[in-house]
Amino acid sequence: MELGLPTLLDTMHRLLFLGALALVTGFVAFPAARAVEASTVRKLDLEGLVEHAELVLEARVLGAEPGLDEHGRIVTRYTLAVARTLRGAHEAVRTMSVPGGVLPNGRGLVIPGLPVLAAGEEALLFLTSESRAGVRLPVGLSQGRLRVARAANGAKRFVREHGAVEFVDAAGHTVPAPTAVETFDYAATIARVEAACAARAERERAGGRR
Amino acid sequence: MRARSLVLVAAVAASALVTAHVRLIHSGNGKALKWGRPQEISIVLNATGSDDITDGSHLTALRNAIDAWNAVPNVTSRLVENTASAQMQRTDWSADSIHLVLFDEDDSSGYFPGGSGTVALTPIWFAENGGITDADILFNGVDFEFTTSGAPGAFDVQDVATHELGHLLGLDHTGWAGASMYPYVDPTVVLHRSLSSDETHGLQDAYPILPGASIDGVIRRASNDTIVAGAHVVARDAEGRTAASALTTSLGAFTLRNLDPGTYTLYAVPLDQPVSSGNLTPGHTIQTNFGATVLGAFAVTEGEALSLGARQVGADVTLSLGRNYDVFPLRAIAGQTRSFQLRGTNLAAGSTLTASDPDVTVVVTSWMGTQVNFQVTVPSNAPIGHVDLAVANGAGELSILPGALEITARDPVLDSVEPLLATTSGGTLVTLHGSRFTTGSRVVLGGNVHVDGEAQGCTVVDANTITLTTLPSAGGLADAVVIDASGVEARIDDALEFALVPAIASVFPPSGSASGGTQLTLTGSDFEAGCTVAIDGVAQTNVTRDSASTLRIVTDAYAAGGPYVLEVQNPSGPVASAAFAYVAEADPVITTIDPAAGSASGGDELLVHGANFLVSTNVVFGADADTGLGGTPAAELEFVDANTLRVVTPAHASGLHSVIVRDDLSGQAAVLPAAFRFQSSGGGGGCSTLPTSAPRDPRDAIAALGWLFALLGAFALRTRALRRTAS
Repeated sequence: MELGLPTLLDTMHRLLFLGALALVTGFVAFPAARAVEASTVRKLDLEGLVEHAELVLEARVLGAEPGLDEHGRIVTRYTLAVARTLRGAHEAVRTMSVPGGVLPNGRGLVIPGLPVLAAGEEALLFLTSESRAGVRLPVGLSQGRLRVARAANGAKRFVREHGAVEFVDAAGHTVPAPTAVETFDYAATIARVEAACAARAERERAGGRR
Repeated sequence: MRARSLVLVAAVAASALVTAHVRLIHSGNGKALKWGRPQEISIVLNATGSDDITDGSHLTALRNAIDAWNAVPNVTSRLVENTASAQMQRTDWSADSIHLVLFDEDDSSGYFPGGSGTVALTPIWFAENGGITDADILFNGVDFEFTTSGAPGAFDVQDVATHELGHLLGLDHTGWAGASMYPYVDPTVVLHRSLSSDETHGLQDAYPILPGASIDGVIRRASNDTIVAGAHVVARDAEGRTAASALTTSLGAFTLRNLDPGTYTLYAVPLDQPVSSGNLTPGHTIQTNFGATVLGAFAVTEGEALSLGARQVGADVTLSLGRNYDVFPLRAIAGQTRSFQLRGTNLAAGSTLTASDPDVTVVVTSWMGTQVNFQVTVPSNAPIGHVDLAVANGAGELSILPGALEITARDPVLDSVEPLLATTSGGTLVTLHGSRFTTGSRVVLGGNVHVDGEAQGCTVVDANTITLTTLPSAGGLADAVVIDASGVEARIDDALEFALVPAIASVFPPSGSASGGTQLTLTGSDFEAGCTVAIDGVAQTNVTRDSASTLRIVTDAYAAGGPYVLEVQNPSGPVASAAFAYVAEADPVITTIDPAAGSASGGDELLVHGANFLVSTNVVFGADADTGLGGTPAAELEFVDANTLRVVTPAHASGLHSVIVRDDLSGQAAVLPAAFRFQSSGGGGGCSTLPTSAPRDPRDAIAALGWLFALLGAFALRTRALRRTAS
């Protein structure tokens, strides 16, 4: 299914909030398929994202507010309306802080590579645990966010702005990507993530019993 | 069909910011981030380093990365390391007062919670005007291992640091697959150590000194004449090498800056794979709904600003080459054929895959739809640099992967290093033997970096030989590493040991009495406290260490003969050797000089009193009291008896000087330091003290001349009686 262009209103709405946000980047470990044996390099397919995430949820971004944390560092506090939680405790509304942002006075902090969530954006988020600084990061930075895009008929698909994505068919099988931009079948992706979350939870329970 | 535009922040895109390379920008107002005072950007390297690297070699790796950016020509920026010990102990990276490179081993930064997948990051603070106010580099030591020696599975410190320093300087990720600012890294990669011309142009754009030639234009869709924002416009030089790139603004405008004179082929590609908008900071508007299009070939002269006006790109295509799970860059080695694979879409039989450098041959071995397997052959004389790969199909579709191939020389080979021991104080001449050494290489040895052709660097003598003089180094075994211009290296672990190695420059006197008691002075370097001295294997009992460069020994008695081996051994083991002889005769002794002063013009008669003088004994004024070197022999000398020598002084510089008596036949000598004062003649009325501006009374001058001639006449009469023949 082809994605439509974001509407102008959507875009402008996004801009109002995004203008206050800063992005953050780092050097992202991204393994070649042949390098899966390297424990320091993670193959961040959907299962890999689940494996390393502390919190997996589908949410809509209600607000994004830059500010200073207790250490005086700029963070952006997101308020999320959580539609479903695939891993972690479900809360209908969550807040989380992500490093970076731009304060009203124009002062900002950017970490090249770290994605910024747009107010109003719907996304499937694979999030790290909360660090001692009280922040969470998307797992694998930009890889840990799959944006929800809606076609003209309202059907959902997942989109990631870069290409570390496998295209899946309705059965969850990988298929060749039809274009350079990645889209994911919504239902198949959710099913695959849920399966991965369940498998991980089962492993953790089994480990606990031992 | 490719998804449509990916809009991040369009509000700022309305500004007319034009970026060469990809610059970090203020997401609120679109201003490019840069340092306000780039001439001296202070950097502090945390001394502790990584848990994985115990020999401190992270410092040389980081310094190599700093050097890479400082070597960019025609820029005002310079990273300056602050090596103050107190600064290097700091860990408070978030303080504005320090720009720190730190390995975070316990997530003290709070930026590396478990599962983050981030190897390193660079938080950058900026002001509203885009001025960078603080930036630090944090390595994720929690989740990843780091190496400076190619340890499997670990990330190369220099490679990662080079990338992060680019961010620190204000550069964003690039769509140039082989560039250092490519956003993905793999433990096997070291080629990011060397900057591509994309990074060079990016830095020259941010911190220019002299603007070079430029090419600007506007990218529009051929289908409807609308502008394309965020198109990746790339220039390829006449040799087919990737030369420069830029992103179009929200108005579709691009400017390729700082181009050398020459002819360039320009093309535009969508920034969708393997790098996309998701890899860039917010503020860029990236549209990808167009197809890769060659815009034409254009020539620029020195400093010329060439405006192309509007250039059209074709419609979006399904053909695509390169994914971010491919490992870039693809290293193609001069003189070799190597096999590669790339992922993509519609990579079907009937398509063609070519390299932009016509001297580089590409042969496809299989088209697999989502993957193409191919071989690349590079001529042995090909220069290093980046080459594009392009795939085209029968439908006229085109996909170009900028800078995908990195052409390098073959790995250098390091066979041996000599000597195997060098002193920690530096100054040891070291030769590295091997093959494929290339101009511009650098050698890492003992915590120091020696760059070919630079002061205190190294010299690539030929493809098989590099020489250098060591710098002060910490003690212990040191790896020797030769890194070529593309970043690949040759290494010998524990190739050389740094220790405090004594060196003997002089032994004075070279002989002494067999009955012992000779006042022997050794000069040299790195005489360690507690060092011992032995002559013919017999430890000397009376050794005094004046300094690291001077030892004084009163010799013990020993059998006449020799020369014997004289050894100085430091407590840590290293030994220096020289020679010393024992002779049967007693050493000469000086007790007094009478008188102890005379004219600097010489001719004064004096007596040297002492003992054990021989007919063959000589007298030297002003020689170095520790080495016996230099000085001026007596103008005339008469052996009076074994206790007395009658001497006529030579002309000599004024001042207090030594007197040495020595026997050139036996090598024995005696020294009386600071024993004789040469005085300026005329009681201070010498030429140097005469005023040159005020005329003197001529009667004074005549009187002075009279005295002078009288004195000279008197000396001439007396010295004639003392003179003896040299024989």
